[in-house]
Amino acid sequence: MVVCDYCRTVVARGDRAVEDLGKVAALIDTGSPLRRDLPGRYGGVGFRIVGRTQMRHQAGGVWDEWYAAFDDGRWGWLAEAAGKFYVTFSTAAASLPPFDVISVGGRLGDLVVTEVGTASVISGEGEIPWRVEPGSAYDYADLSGPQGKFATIDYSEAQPLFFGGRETTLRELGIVGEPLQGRTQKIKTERLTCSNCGGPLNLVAPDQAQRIICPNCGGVHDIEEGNLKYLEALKQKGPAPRIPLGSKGMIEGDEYVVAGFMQRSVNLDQRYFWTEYLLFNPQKGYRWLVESDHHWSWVWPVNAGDIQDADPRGSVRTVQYDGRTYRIFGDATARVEYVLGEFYWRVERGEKVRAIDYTAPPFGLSKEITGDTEINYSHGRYMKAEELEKAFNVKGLPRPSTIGMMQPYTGGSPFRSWLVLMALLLVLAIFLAVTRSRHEVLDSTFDFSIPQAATSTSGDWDTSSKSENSRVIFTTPFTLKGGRNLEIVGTANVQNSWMYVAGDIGDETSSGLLQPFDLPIEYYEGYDSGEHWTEGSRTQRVFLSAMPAGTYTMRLEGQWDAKSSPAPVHLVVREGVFRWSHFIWAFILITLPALWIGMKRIAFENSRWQESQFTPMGTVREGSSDSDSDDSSNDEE
Amino acid sequence: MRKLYTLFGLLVLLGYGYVDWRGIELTPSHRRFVPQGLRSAGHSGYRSFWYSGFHGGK
Repeated sequence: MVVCDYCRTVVARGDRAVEDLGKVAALIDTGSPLRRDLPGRYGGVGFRIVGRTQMRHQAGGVWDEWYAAFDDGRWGWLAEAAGKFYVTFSTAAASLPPFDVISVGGRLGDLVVTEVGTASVISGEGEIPWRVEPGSAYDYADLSGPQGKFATIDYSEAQPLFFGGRETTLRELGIVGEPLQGRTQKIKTERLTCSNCGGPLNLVAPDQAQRIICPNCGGVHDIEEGNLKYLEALKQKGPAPRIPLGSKGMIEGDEYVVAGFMQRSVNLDQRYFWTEYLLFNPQKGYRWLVESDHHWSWVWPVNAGDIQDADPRGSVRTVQYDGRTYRIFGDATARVEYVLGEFYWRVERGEKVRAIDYTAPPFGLSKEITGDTEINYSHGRYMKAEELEKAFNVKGLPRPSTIGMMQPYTGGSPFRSWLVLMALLLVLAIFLAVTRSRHEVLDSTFDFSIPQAATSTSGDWDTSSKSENSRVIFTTPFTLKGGRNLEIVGTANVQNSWMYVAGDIGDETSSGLLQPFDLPIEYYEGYDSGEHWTEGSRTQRVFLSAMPAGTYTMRLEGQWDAKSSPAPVHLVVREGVFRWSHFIWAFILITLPALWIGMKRIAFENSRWQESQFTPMGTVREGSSDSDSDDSSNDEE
Repeated sequence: MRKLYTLFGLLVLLGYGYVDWRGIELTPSHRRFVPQGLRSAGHSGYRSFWYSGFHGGK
């Protein structure tokens, strides 16, 4: 079928003859960067656009479907909707569900049904593979799959037709430069005025806009067939946009213009409000800036097929996207309270969608379910007010005082550092234990009860002590290597008694260095009400700092309980002893701050989840029921 | 915060390594030196300084 460019007569090429099918309506200028005869490439195969049909969405929007002849003999469709481009090819598919069975959220293989609706044909041009009948309506279902897969089921014929393909970009289609300039010029030259107040309506994306709300008087206009149609003046009050409409800002290397602004709310224990800014970039399409409690997020649409969502029509505890797990944070009916500027759909005050939010800071995922007809997923990242101020050259954006849904914890996670430090501590301890290996320098038993001259093993006796229960002994000289700590262990077999050894290690001949130490040995035991008890220990040890290398003597002054005779004291002196207490102290010093940081993070997360309808485990928090869900025509459950 | 913590942890490791390598005990001790004059001037010769009022600081 061909539409004559001059008289708009539709001519069908049948098997026998050419058939005149009458005339079609004029095309609506959608400002599309695509046009007939435009060449391009897709998947390495060249194509040329040969015709188009123009369709109207049941909600009023208009979109083009361009028919393209590919160099490999295939015929495909390029569709443009809401700033996105799709390439599809007619594909054989077995057992397609009938239209009265298919529903949003349903699955067809790895595809998810994201929209079901009815489109009507407006017009066409050039070469089209089917009969254009202006005003005729047909049902369709759009499906989204992983990695940008896209498909449409066309119910215009007795047997549904399946068109499979994927989402693409103009750049991928090899369409750059001149076609885009046409769109830009149109934006620049479009200057409309409000039918109600005469104020300017500076359109950002006139080819995409479906509804414009005058920022001066609230006058609502629809764009129908390229003409501005005044509907009503909204008597609404709302907040002024912190970033004015028409503002331009660079985000992630692309320039966006603020096209629209809306305030929405949910009604839980009270009504909570937030604002959303609709931004447009000719190549990227639409994006959102969302402000809630002075927390900002940068939001963009994602394909439903890329989300691992066990229940696309409802809410589940977690969903997966791009390798991350997102936990449910909110599930409520969102209501539009206030709108300004232009939108790519016919937005209305009071419009409701079921909004389900998931979080994986600094990212978030949002699912909006519009009745039985549409599911949209969008992905966002947390934005600091400073980043926005810089991007849009605005000042004084208020700073948040609460913890936001997507707000990342900037304290960092100490766990990995702790693990590394623990590993280093272990290696260091092993190194010290191996290289500073211990050795004994003295191992002797001293009997303080014998007031006689020194034996060869225990050293010299001093007989000058006057006390009956106190005597002094000098050990034989021993050698220290130096640079290593000392451990002195004293053991005495005392029983319900005590033995006190006050010692000095001294370098008598050279430096005169004296290192004192004490070994208070006491051991008591008995029975109390039939219970055996003990107190003290028969062994005491003391650690001393390293002494310089040299020959030393030990002076030991033994004191004992006057009621009993002194127990012999077995004394062992070791040099280079591994100090577990030092290791434990290092462990504690490294671990305590990590615990403190971890506790801070837990407190941070607790504050975040206090703002949620759900607990971090995904259970519903008390008092967080959605009060708008009952009167929402969109709610399914 | 994480960097600060890592730095702190490394300082702890450095301190631990230094203390253990040098054989340092963290509990205070009263190490003293017996003056040379006292060691050689005892009335009863060798080790007499122990009993002339010098008891290792105790």
